[in-house]
Amino acid sequence: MNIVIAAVLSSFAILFPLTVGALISEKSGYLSIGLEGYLNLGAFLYFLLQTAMSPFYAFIFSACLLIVFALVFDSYSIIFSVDHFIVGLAINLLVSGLIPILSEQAFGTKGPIFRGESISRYVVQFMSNSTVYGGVRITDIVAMVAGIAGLIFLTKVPRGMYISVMGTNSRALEIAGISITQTRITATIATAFLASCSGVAMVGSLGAWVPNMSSGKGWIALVLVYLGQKSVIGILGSCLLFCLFQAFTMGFQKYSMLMAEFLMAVPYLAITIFIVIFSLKKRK
Amino acid sequence: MHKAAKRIIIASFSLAVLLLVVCVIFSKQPFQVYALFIIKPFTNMRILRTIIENTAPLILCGLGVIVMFRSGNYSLAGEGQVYSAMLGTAVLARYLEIQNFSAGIELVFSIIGGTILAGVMSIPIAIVGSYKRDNVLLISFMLSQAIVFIVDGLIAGPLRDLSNNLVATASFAARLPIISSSFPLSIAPLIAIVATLVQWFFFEHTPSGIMLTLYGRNAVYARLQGYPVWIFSWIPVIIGGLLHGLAGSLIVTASYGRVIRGMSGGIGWNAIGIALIAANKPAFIPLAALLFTWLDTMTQYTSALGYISFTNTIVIKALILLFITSKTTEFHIKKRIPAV
Amino acid sequence: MKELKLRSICKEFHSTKTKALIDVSCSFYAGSIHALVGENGAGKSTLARILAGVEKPDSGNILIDNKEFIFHNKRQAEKAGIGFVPQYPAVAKNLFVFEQLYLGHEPTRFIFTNRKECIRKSHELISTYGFSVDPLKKIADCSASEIREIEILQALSNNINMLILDEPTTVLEKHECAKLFQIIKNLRDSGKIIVYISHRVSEILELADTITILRNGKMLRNVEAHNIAKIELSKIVAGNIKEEKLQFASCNANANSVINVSHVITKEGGAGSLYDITFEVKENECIAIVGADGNGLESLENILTGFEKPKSGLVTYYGKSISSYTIKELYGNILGYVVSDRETRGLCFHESVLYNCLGKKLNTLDYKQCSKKCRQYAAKLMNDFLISGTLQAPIETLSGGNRQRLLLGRVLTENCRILLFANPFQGLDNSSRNLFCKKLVESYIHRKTIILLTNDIDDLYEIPWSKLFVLYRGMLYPYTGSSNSLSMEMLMTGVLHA
Repeated sequence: MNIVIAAVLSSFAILFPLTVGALISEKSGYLSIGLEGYLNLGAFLYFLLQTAMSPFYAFIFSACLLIVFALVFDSYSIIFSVDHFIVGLAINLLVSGLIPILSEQAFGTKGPIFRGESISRYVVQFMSNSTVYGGVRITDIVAMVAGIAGLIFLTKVPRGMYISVMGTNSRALEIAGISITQTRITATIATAFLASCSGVAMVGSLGAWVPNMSSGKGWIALVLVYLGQKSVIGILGSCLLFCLFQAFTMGFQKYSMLMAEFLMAVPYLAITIFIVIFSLKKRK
Repeated sequence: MHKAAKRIIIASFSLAVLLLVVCVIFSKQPFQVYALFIIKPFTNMRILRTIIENTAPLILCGLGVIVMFRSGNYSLAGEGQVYSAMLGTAVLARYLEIQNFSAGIELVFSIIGGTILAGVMSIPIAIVGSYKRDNVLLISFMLSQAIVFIVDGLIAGPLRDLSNNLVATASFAARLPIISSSFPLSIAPLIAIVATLVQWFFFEHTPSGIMLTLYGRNAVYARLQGYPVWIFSWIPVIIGGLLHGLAGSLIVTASYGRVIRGMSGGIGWNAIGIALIAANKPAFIPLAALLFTWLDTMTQYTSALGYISFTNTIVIKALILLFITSKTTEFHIKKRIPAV
Repeated sequence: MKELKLRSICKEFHSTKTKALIDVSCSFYAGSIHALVGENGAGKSTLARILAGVEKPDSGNILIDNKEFIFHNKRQAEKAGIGFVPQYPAVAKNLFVFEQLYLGHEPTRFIFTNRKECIRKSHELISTYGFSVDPLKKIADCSASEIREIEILQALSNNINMLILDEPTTVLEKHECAKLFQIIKNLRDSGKIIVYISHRVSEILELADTITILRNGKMLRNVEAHNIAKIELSKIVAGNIKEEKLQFASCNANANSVINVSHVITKEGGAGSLYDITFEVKENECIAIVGADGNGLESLENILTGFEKPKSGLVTYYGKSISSYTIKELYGNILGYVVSDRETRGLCFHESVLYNCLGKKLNTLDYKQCSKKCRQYAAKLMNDFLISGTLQAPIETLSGGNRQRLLLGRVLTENCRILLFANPFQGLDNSSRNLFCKKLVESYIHRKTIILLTNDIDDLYEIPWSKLFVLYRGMLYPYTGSSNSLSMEMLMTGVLHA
């Protein structure tokens, strides 16, 4: 049971802030295709910076750098009239090439780099007969708090409310004298910040940097927003369910003859089947 | 000037400049490496052959992307479809070989089988797309990821050839016929060119092609003109899948004779890139594919020599995507056409 | 604010080369309701938007109590005490009423919205002005009249002294208007300046103290409301119908029924609803339905073309329900349709002029010499209908008038049995309009059935009509010429017998 709880919490700490970021972006009217790239870059920047400074400052600076990166591309999209879908694809591609270059320059390798417990200590450990089965790390708490803060921002803070109004009816903002450009910038900053927190949790959970360690979590976050019907309770539920499903799948690996790859495919297949059935029902 | 021609020029120019920048930053002998990129393909026949050979499957994938994008379906399933077709082809070819079928039959049926497998993979996407095109993006990615995991698992698991250390399926002997022994190129590029011509003709010179293009732009308009919108809502996705499948089958049967884990190598994403460079015009796909394949092949060559690496060229491709799709870089080289 | 003066306001829209306002001057006084009236395109909404700070004038001054103001945005206009309620609702359906009322200037505690304070202030605002809306209700659950009240309250929440209302009753039922009028009168009595834009003469005469009449961007005159006759005002607002130019054709009673609209009712309440619409169109008849915006013309267009299903009632073509036809049968063979919304339905943007010319022709071509035939067809279309442009150029390069000619020409050359035209002559000059009228008459002679839906009386001339109807507030009123005691202008502007 400890293993399952540890796996769920670890997975939730990564996926939850990312999904909130995807929700904010979706509420503002833009699907954040580049979320996968943001996650990977945020994780790498944190890993890179915490080798040179304390984890706290590494988190702050990596978040700031990712926000600047996101704003640059968002501005490019607006100024040069590039479709945000293409910008998102380009971000994902760019990050997948940029990170190995930076990794080689900083660490002399493009491969995995292990740093262990020094990245993030446990706050709560789940143990069984003196064997640690994971737990809650500082980075997990930071990420989950950020996710909750993101939801509070979206629902309780005026600027967050403007984001959801922008996605519903931007004319309402215009009539109320609220700048749409400022609102869009706010949404970009919030999404990038949450992606950064997610990256921090991801690195903290492994204690290492592994190339492509996100494994499509950015895309999963987008799908979870869709499955959660773009509501706060919905995404909480869909996120939790997915993490539970994933944890059971990975836990099942221990007792099953099936290879890890097949089990990793199960959540993706499940989502695909669900969307297909949903579409067939809607057509009727 | 035609939009696609402008994009090819911008892409070529950007590539030339960015490559120079990469060489200067990452290589100790930047100008020698740069010269290698430009001159070597024309002096080394083996490299030229490799470039042309590798362009063929990319052309087919690009054509598959065009069919889907032009119908308004933004599918990202290319990678998974190519990979599944590779596996299907390899497994079927090996099976037919064991059953002592002739090489010709082995090739034909394995290619058809692999292609159809990829087409079948498109059915869930087509179902979702016919209901709501906006959902195609996410479901196609999910399905593609799932397929990649499953194929990886099959290659590393039950289908693995344990006779060597390579994580790959068992090999089969049959290969695509060669066009000429003096310049040993398989028929894959020929198939790709024929496919390009067929698709160019379809989109530019048939009523159905024009209707499909208009449907992709504005489905309501197409409905009001009485076009067969129901067919257009799902068939292009299937055809796109079949083209990706054909690409995967040809990769395996051209030279490898087996599927190695991870062999799809981002071809699905490259195909989207070249479709954007070609502005969704089939006639320009071969040029755009040649550009990317040249870059990849020469990067492989130079990275083996320790000059620059693959990841540098991924950055170049990403930046090219941004440059070519920017509306402000669509300047007119010969004359200005008044803005709307 | 005691007085607001506009001096020599000019505004030109350079993209369409339209002079929206030419040297307009007028004054608005506290404690009065000032109506702005005029035909479509007179400049009323542009003037309102300039006052509200949404648009900037090219020249001229705005003086409030003899002090000059320049508004760069809506916020500045609000700070100067001017509030604006647009014609179509600009509310966010995901918000609560209290959130919408204070959108942009919410009370906060630290950085969070002070929900309790917001609700309290909403209650206070609502009771101060005598409204009855529930601040805890979701906008999505509010009726059209409640949303209108919310928008007015939202403007009032900024402590404004001048309220501009642009066609406020467009989205309201008749019985909801009475309540709104009382609110407006109360606001006037409390000393506010009310600027009221409407095309509904009965409302204008009931509410307004002063009326400013605009025509083609110029101020025609200023009158006291009691100094202008109903029919004169109707003519100005709706456009003056020249009955001598109307032509009527005789109906063949034995002809087969082609279109039958029977007791159609669309969504309940609000803008564009239809109430118990019934009419029949026989073979080779020409019928016209004319109505101002917001009276249900758009809904009728959607019902007749199968885009919207009626809540109740039936629409049949040749005796068969419209929903039982396949897309190819209905749009490919039966119905030729000139859409009112050419931007989203009528044309395919980012594609060439050539492709946009082809339309249904593509259904009849085969692949042999397809390109050549397409080019020939498109070139002939452009030549016959005087469309200036290049075949290979994107459709966006055509001017508005040329796009409309393309739309009309395409439909007139199709071989469809029924022709439905919705605002077909928008953006056309007089000579083009005459050309297309002649083409329409030719189609009529060639035994096609024609339906015209329009908001412009000038579209009715030169074509022999079997029947004419006026659509007002979702109801259909037959019009048979001068023998009718009510003129068309009066029908269109709501001056009806009880």
